Amino acid sequence: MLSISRSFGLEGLTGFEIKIEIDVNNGLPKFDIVGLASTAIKESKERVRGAIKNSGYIFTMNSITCNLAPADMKKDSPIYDLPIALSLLRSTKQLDAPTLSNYIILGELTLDGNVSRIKGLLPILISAKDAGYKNFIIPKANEKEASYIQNINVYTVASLTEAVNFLKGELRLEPIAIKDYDTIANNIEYDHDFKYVMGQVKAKRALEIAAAGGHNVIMVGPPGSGKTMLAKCYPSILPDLTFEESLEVTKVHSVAGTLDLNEGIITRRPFRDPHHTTTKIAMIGGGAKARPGEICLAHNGVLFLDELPEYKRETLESLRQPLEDGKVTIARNAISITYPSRFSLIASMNPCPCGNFGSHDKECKCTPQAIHAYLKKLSGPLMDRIDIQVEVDSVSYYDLNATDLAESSASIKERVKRARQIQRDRYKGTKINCNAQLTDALFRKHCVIDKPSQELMKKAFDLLHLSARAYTRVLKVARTIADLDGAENISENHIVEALSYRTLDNKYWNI
Amino acid sequence: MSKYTLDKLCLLCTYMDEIGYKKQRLLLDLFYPHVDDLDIEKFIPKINKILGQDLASSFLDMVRSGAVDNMYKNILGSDIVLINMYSDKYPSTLADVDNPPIMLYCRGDIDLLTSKCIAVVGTRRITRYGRDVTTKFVETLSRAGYTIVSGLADGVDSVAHTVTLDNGGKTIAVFASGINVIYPATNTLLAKRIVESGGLLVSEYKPGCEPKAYQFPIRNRIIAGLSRGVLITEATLKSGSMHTKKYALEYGRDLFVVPGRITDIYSAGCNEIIHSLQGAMVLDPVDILEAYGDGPVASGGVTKNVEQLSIVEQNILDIIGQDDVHINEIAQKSGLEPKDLMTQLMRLELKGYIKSLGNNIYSK
Repeated sequence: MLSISRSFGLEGLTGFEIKIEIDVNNGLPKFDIVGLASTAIKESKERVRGAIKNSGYIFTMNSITCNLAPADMKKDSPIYDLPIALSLLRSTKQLDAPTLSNYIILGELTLDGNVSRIKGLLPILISAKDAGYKNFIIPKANEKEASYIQNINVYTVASLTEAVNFLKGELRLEPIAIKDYDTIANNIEYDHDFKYVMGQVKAKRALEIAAAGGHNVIMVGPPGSGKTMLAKCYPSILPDLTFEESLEVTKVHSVAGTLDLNEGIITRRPFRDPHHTTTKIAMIGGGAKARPGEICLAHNGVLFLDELPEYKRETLESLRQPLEDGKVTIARNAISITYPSRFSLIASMNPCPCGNFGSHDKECKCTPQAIHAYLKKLSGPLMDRIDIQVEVDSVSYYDLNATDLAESSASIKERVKRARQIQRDRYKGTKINCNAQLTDALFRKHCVIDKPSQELMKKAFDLLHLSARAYTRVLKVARTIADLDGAENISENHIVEALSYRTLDNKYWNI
Repeated sequence: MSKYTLDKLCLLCTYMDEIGYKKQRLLLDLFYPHVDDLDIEKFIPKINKILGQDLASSFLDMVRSGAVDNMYKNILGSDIVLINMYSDKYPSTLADVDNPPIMLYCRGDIDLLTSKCIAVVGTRRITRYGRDVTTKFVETLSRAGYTIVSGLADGVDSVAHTVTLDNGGKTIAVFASGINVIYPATNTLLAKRIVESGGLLVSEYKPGCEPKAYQFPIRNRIIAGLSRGVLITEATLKSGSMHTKKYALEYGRDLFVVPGRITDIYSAGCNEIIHSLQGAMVLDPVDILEAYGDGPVASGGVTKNVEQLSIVEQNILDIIGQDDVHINEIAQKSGLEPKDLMTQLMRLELKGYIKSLGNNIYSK
């Protein structure tokens, strides 16, 4: 008898329906799976056989053919064990459930008949919901991930027997309760908070501006000066993830399998700090299955690159296009997948290979050529995408000894949120939503400065030896400072402050 | 073998790296009286005595190979000017030097060798302070007509040469490598500028000679020897400038040293010299001019705009006082919000009242 069940597959972050057809005929015992199934799926046979037997059902000694339609799409994760087993039971008349094909069924089986957790559930649920499906049977272990999608009925099962009994109508299951995103997202606590960072007045202000305008930042300073600490605090002053943003992030992490089991949905902005030996593929994504890379995992969050010049040049250059477009397309021989990658880049570096260049109490042991070569690893086009430069120096005993806590991240975040709101209102109807993304046309419209300010800029550029490239960067940052100030127009004060986040050009990249 | 000239004789005696300075001079003393009709083969026993059996035979091989003739021909065909130690063009100032260079290879205006020279030397890893001080002194000195002598190294040397050129002055670069081997290579353009501006490049090493570490301190004796005074603007304790200082004292040259902060390792060498030779300290370029009886020259520096300062700005200036102050301290003492603080500091910097020294330290 032929029986059909339904499931879903993933290509990147988009799902497609898979029909699982099982036909059992008389003949020599065999079990074939066809339909471009990967090895992991072909091995399903053994798990299905074991699960059926050990759950007390009979595994038929006839010829079984299983087809995964559509036949031309590659299927590569072992998430069809459960629907295959259920179809097989129905084909062999052990499961009388005409409603079987009304459900989208997902789950991996263990040999003892339990259903274990699968990867990529959230993007599947979202795609399936969009395609009009309402009823789902998923592993119990995935429950949390599924509890934020409204208007669908999701049933969770822990074992094959539970699924069979549920479909037979012998076991009553309630669809899982929908949780309210806002209530969980409101009480997020970050491990790192600016209130524990003493001193660092300038760096903290620079990060506040960066958060308010979506600017990328580079911090330059000797080893042990707290660059990493500052970067780790940065997500805590970014505005909370909205539900939509949270879904986007969770989708990527669901596919990559980096989701926290207890969380289900990601409510904190991601913070990714790949080591400097990271390859280009690991950074932007790829491999045979076109997996998302670090920059996709940092989507809507922070990508922290410690010791920027130590990264391979190839890796750094591959960041340029995603930084500009906010997405990355990975093409492999059979597939081409676009992942979102709108992240804030926080980079840090030593001023020279030994770290003591410019220090007054430690001698720098690098030759000028070595320093030159070190700085040259950062190409102009890459540096052009980093609006804010700030020097971070060792914290003195004077600062560490302070007993009062510094301003908390929460109160900085309030200011950031206000500035972001101003920008969202101003850029309504355009493709951008913060100052860092300003296009040429919009830049001309929103970064107008008056005559005295222009003269000030000219004077400052001569004095600080700034390049023409720095001009738009300074004004974009000044625009953000004005927004933090709640000011309609960019004033002289805003420009003057913005200039102080551009002084390293002269010190490091002009020699 | 064609007839010997003094130039060629000096080339011959200095050709082999294996022969040290003292033996070069002995050979030269041996051949010099017979330069007009010299036949080296006649002197074999004496050469053997000076150089020893092995070295003498390789010396004779070299003489017979005609390598010196070739080199001499190449030099004549280039823009390199030779000045041997017997020449009347040889600067008399080098007579004070122990082991005076036997041959000077020059490119550019050789008259500069006998001009009013002052050496400006210091660390290769220059700080902002060193850059400012060197610029200030060299500006004044080059405008007052002094020829600035230095070593074309990174740091103070490069700044000294560049500032001189920018002010239309004359400068001499003394190499520790062959005259056609520019070290560091990053200063190739600077060397070209020096020659084009009527300056001079000098080396005692034969063309093509690579810079070897031991040649740098030896080279410094020429820098000190050529100059009537040596100015050290910024130097660590182990800086090559300390050799130049030693030579300057041996040859009776004036020593001028710019002090730095006592905690600053880049000024430690300067401060050390001042500690033992208090008369060496200079605080203003005019100190040097006065030492030579020259009057002050018109300053071409930027005059500070006298602008009305706000109360807040004045307050920050008071906090900074005469020290180098960290931004965190300014923040604490002024009680300003970070955003206002950054604005005020940048404003004062633009107005020329304060300087950012890097690492978030500010000074007046």
